[in-house]
Amino acid sequence: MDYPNSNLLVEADWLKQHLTDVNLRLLDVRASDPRLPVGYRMGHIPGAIQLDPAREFFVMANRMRDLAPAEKIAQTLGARGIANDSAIVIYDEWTGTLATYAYWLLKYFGHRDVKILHGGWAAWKKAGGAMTADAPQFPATNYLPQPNAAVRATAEWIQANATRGDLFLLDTRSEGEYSGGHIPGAHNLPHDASLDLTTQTFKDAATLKAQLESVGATLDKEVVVYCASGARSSHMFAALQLLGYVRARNYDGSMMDWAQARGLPME
Amino acid sequence: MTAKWNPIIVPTPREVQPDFEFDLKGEVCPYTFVKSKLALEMLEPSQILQVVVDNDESATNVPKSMTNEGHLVLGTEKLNEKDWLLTFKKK
Repeated sequence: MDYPNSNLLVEADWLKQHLTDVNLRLLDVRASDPRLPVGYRMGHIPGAIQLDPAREFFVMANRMRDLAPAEKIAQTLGARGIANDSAIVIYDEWTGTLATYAYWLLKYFGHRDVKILHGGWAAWKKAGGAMTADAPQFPATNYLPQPNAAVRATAEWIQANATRGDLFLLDTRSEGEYSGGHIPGAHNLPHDASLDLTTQTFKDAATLKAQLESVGATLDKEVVVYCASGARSSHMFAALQLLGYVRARNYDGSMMDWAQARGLPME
Repeated sequence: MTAKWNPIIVPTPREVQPDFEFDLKGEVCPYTFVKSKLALEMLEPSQILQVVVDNDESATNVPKSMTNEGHLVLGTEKLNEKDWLLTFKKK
């Protein structure tokens, strides 16, 4: 991998060699539903823990989502045997938004060592990786979340920084959604532009960089990504970090917060 | 400009018989799309999936994403103040 920050990803062959590392905690964030023959209960990578980021990292209030308080995160991660110094590897069906969503959430809550299995479950199967139906048991820990505000944008933060010349707002929804109304000044690059749809992995570094630069998101900018509710934008957040953008933020509230909850201006 | 989500309303054809019905009330993005897609993967080409979602965002975006994947959107119908019935035909 030729990405400037390639340690954000691991390949299936690497994971095969490190599967028994004592400090490794594998998180299976694939969609799971008792009505569908898919997901964790149908088989997963040995040692993987199931986690649903949308349920475990958020609370609902007035039909709107907000990040869960640190105490709930501590309980969620601690009960699963995840410690502050655990080496976390997340996997989705492919390099999808559920993996990047969990990645951003863990980075926000201050976890240092988080990686994504490139190509996800599909890549694992293709590499002939083992699978199991057994759920592991790890001793509980006292997890201490340490929220990192530098990777998160809020509506207040965007409004306070909107006139900065180095601020770049990137709307990662589809062109149709973008043209139907977006945050003033935002540019558009749909989140799936970062994916090679054949392999369901990130595009190569040169292509990703060219795409971002073509809309004006250069390395010197502080890039704020958003979408409808913060999941698709997390995919672009991960792509930015992969390329070495050291100042990237995800607006997790996104348009549900900006337009629906707050009624803030759009163009 | 105050536009938010504008689901494109398409009345559900009367003759439609779903092969799989999926209640996704309480689910939000990206799960509404991901689970709809997984449900569709279980079906055969030309079979029908019906999904109920309870937010305008999903009623707007799930049909768009399904169209992008090449499936046919047969219906996007408002059932009551919150709920939407989405009908898809697998490509």
